[in-house]
Amino acid sequence: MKLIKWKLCIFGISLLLSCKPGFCVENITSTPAQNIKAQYDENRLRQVASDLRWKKLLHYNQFFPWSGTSGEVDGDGFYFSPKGRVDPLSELKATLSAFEVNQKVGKLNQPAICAFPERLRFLKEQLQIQITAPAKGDCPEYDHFISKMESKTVEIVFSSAYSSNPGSMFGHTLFKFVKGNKSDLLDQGVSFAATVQANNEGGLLYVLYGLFGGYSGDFSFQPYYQKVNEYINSESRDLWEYRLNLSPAETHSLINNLWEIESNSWFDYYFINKNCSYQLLAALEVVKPDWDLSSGWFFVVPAETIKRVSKIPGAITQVRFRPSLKRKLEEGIELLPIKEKVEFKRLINRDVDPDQIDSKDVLSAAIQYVQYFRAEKEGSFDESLREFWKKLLARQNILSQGILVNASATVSPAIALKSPVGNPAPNSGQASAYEQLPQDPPELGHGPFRLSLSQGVFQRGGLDGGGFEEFHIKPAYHDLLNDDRGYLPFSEINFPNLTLRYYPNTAVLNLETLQLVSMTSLSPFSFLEKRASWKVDIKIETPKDLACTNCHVFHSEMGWGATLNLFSPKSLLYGLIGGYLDVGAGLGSFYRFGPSAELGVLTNPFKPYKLRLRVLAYSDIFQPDRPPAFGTLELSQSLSFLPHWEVRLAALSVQGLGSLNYRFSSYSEGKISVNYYF
Amino acid sequence: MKKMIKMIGLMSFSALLVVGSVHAAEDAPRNQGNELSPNQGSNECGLGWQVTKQKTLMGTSTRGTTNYYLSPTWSMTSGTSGCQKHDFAKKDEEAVKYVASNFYPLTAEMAEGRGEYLAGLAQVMGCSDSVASNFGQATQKSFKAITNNADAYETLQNVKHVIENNAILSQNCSATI
Repeated sequence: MKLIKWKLCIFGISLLLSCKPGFCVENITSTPAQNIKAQYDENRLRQVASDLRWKKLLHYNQFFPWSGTSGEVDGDGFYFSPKGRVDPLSELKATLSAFEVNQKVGKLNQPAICAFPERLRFLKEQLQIQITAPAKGDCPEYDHFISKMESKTVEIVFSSAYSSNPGSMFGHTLFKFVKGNKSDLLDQGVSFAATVQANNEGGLLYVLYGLFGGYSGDFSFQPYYQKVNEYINSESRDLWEYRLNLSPAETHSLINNLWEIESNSWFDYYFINKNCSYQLLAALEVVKPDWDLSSGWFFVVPAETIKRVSKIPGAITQVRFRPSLKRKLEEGIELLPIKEKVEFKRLINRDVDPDQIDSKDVLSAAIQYVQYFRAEKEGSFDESLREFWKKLLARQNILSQGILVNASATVSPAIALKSPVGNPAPNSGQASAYEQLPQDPPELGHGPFRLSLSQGVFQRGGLDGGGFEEFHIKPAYHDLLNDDRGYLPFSEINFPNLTLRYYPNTAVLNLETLQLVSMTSLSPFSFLEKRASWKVDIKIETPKDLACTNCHVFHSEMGWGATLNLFSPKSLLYGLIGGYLDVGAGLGSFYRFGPSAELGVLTNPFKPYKLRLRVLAYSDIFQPDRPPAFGTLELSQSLSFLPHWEVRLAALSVQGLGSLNYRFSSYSEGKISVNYYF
Repeated sequence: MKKMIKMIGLMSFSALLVVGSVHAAEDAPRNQGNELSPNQGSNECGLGWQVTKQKTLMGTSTRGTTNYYLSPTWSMTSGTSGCQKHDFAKKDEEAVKYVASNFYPLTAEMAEGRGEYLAGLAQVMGCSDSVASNFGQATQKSFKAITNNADAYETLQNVKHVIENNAILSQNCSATI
């Protein structure tokens, strides 16, 4: 396509037709490139072109871990040379030409020196070129951008997963450009996201486009308060802010490079490897080429990018934790004495008027509750709730003024307990939006990739079946028995994974499981929210209720239900009811389906240890000569040694249920697994 | 050609990674150019950041982003929906947007006289850091007068009056009526 444009332009010039600037960027470089050769020492140009910093400025990176590097900016307008994506020297010469002839480029049709300020700065530094940097007013759009973005340093912000949305269960990262003001709400947030049209949401097309680069990706710039509203207040996600060791000059260079991309071009967006988190790393490498952040990714998980940055010595100078509104509210309620808890409940049920409340803490909790409620149930924020809100504030205002002798005296005991410890608040003297760092930062979590070896024994129909060995491989991500540190607690997302089983007695190697996907979300009912729990599981497996060791069925299953906390937030009791479908040659009529149910207890009494006991029941009414149902009782335990190792013990028993008139070959097994994560 | 190779390469292992598609659906902007989702069921200026959540498989559909910093011609159409009825000066755009976007947490902090949203407002009003606590106390004291049925624009004007009538703040804040 580019070649065609180029040829058309040459053809156009030959016909003395003028080519519009921007459309035929490439042709302009051909003539002045001759001048470049005369003006600069070719060897020096070669040296600069092979400089890693120049390549990173051009976003030269690997697409796959095994491929070579090439320019990753996909849209027109970023590379002046037709060979700019693969030949840094050609791009260097073309850039110099564009600067010299004052070429107009990009989405804003602005002079090249305005569109590429960082290239200009770098080339002036390296080549002592005579091109004059633009004066104030020469580049109004760029000046405006800089006036909004200019910052002292940069943070990478990690947003925890958004449990009610599968699309957000992996977390997210964004940049925060820190201005060093009293309130960081007026800092700038920068995200990289796919541009999806409103009417093109969901569906298979969305998935395909996302997988294969059908969407363009752009950086978006918003005040940080918009991000806080979005994540903290609306979606109940915690934010972890990692301050990077960037100088003001490096920060400026980074802003310049973002400008060079955004005002001229775009990236294609690939959900798996060239996504929101990846492009932040690639941008960082522009100013820190020696950090080596962007290479070697097979797929890019946001928390893993934080891990990669945190492994670089000295890269992170400070970490702060901004809890979600929901977390703050829950903690605030938890800290209230019993009497005030009762008062709080009466207040929000509107059994008592705000004017009758004398506790600031109760009022604070109620004010947060209304904000949370408003964010969760927008449609229900009616006139009466609005009036209630105003009364709460008016009462709080009166009480606060009564106490307000000096600023420090206003800190109530409940809030004082939660004031930051060891984390300097940006706005000391103000109530801090930050909290002490929890013990489960995202960078401490287990790696997503799992390799596993197991040894086990089994019995069938009461007879000893001997031993077996298993090999298992899974590229990602997290299951219910994994250590939850750094992940969404009590959630499961398994990417396609494979388990092979070998029976030494019979020398049989069997495909035990080829799981395509499994997801589970267990959300305990709480005072604040009652959200359904659910699971999906699709796999090819060797079923244990059939008396065979190497038959296979295609199994798909869904369940929907509820979860309760069992005495503490560390233990769950859950029940899921749904249905399943099995298809396979080993089945009487090649298929079976029907209702299924799962009841389980999952507990995490102390951090590295988890235990799950569950009963699974499946109806089996469409198969001849079989009991009407069968069930599995399973006990699993795991002990993790973060970040790499884990040991699991599992025992299961499969029995026919419902009738003794049929013969059912019961099955049981026990196994020990050693898992390695990276 | 390069794209073809990329496509084929990705397709070859995408079957293994279909689930990855849900990841990073994160944050896909659905309302390009409309920074805030429109107020639902109200034309008030200052209901603040309205969350009209429609939870879908792939994301919260009301996410809005804009690249307005790319253009000096960014106009009032975004960020202050409902505020158009007021004819306010360009210099107030950022401040109105700030108050409108943060209306609820901001007024809650104003009642108490402290907090980061209030510190942000002081900054938007051009107050020096040294008078931040004065700003908090003054707006807390006049809380009722400032917020009495006021929308974002009116709230802002009321804050300006408080600044003007306060000896210390009028000397140390640059915002003018």
